Amino acid sequence: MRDDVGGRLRLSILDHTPVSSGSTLGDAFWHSTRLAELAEQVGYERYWVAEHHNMPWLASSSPAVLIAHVAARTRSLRVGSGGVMLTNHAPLAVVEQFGMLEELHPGRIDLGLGRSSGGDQIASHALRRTDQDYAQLLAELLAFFRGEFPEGHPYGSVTAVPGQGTMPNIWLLGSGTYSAQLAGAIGLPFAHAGHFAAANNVSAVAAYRQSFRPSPALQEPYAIVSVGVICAETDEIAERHHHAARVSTVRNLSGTPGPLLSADEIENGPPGEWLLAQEQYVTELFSSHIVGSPSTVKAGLEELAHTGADEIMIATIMHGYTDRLRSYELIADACLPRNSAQVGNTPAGSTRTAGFVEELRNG
Amino acid sequence: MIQEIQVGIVDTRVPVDAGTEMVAPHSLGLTCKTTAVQATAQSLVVSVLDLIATRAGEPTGSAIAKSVELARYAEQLGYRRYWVAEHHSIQGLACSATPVLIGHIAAATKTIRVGSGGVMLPNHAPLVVAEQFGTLEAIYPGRIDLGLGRAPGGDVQTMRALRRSLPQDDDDFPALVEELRTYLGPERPGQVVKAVPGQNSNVPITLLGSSGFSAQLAAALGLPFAFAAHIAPESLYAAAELYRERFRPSKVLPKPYLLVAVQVIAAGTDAAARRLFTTPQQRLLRAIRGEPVKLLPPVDSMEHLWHDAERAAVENRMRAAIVGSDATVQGGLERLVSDTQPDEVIVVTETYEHFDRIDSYRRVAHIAAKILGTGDTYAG
Repeated sequence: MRDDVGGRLRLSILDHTPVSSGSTLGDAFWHSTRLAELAEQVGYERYWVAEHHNMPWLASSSPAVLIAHVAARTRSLRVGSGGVMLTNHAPLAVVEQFGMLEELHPGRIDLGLGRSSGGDQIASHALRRTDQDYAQLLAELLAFFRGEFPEGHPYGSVTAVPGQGTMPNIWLLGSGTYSAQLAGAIGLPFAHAGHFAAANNVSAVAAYRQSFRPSPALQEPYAIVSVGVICAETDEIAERHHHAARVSTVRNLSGTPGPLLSADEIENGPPGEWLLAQEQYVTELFSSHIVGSPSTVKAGLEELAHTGADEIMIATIMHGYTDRLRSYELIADACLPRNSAQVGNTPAGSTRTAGFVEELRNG
Repeated sequence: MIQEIQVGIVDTRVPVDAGTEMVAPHSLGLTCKTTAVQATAQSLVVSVLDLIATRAGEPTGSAIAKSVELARYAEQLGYRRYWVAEHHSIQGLACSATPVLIGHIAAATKTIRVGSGGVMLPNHAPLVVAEQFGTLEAIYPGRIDLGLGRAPGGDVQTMRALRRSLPQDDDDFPALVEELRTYLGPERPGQVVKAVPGQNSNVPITLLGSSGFSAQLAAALGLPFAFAAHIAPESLYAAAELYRERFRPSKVLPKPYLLVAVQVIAAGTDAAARRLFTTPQQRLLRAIRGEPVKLLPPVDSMEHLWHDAERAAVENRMRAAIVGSDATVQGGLERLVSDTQPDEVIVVTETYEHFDRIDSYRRVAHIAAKILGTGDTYAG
């Protein structure tokens, strides 16, 4: 953790809106809404939603629409995309969407941009994914926001309404050094996808800092590293949730995708036939997660801060909405000092997370 | 069945009875006084179409705040739907990111259906549209409409910037609609790409059009059809007839369901309404000239603003508009109903002052309650 943030852990949330077995996509979205409200209450820095396609266990495919909903339900929380996969979309469409969000919620919107597909090859085809160069698409996007196309450019006559002149905070997302260096070179904040590329945590942040050049948007480099976390009252409970999430993920990547299964369902259900390659991949992926009791997780997050991250973004993909909210709540209680004074005495079983969905829908 | 809707709007400049006053959350300052709209199940169904018009220099956020307030009143007044359009690169129309606006308006209302009027499908990948509207439907079940059009909603360069394939021919549109319906309907055997969310959400689709083409497509697919009489009044009767003649019953719709969008301005007197109408008249005039189309204040007379040819063009394009006192508007709506038997009228009202717009929608809600509709409904 860097000195200028006073050694305090800055934590934020990356929400994939995971879908639990036995529930609807609507339930998943309303729980995400509740998570955003929790984030605002307990002092998470920001709340981002992901873009994934054709994955029935992840409901977040339309970040801009979900952000409109979540931002309308919160007051001061920074809400954004982590991220919009720019190569899946026309830059003008992204500028109109996020220009609109910035108009509706001035100063609260982050536009995180990535260049992966967020899905498989065939979904990419259905999305009309372009093979256009990412840096060019990014330049086009920035030109629409700033209304600064070069003289004679074919889009010089096109105005993003809204969008031109209402630019949210732009972030580049990456899992290696390419986007890290690009973000550094143009002076944008950077978020490294440590939740699936933990091996590159240090090299990506270092590449970003080395290439950083100050810009009007950002004087000093600012880097987020994300990480998969599951926190519960004890290490054992957390490990059990993590095992369930791992098995669900192997199943989902082995050709029989569906909502995430609970630990009980996995322990009592028939053994699945997994593809060995997927199992190895997922096991390796999940080995970078921080899993355990609040003190275990706190120690893990503090260690992660040594990667040079200014902020750690927590991605929790697990079965059970109450357990998931509880995970984020426990982490906040343990790691966000202002919050622990305020709600440190909240009993286990969480009054905050009980019976809220109906309440939200009706209210 | 009598639905008593306790609502009405008065200008804050006019004192109201203290006991009947209420202020909507996030109100822009309008005060609401209760008067009952007495609509029955047989009353003419009315809905709202909003292009989110802005004044010169007005921030988009301010225009949208007005639209949110209008949507809340429309809900209380018994309007069936609140639709927002899709336009691009037009200074003065803030309705480009339609699904984002729908999410914002749905979050601020409770029961009114919210939708697109429409999404210009060739501008988007059908999977993206399915995911966006699938997300909205998952969050606001039973409240989301997906109206689809095929117009560009902007100029050629804008279409290129949106990666719309050019030149577009009409043959593409039915295939795009079919692709979209694959993502919104039940999963098909062997379907590889699924819309998550979207699949099996069955978000109700309405085809929009201003010509016979969409009328025939809507008829062939057995879908509701919304005709844009505020854009192409000359084709209204032919398109309505074509739609009904060629209609083939489908799983979603046993018989034709016709919506007609028309401009309406109702005010205290004919003269007052005609004066308010000079705002949309000036805008169309400017659009014809290729000038910016931001909302302008009403004027006493258009005489010094247009040439004869321009006047003829504006009046021709707006000849379906219904403008006047309550009695005049009632007469106009009754004529529209007897001529085309729409199942629903989509009311497009643009004025310079927010209050005048809300007041017009309030008057129209009362008027529509007195007019006999077809009694049919589509998706609530």
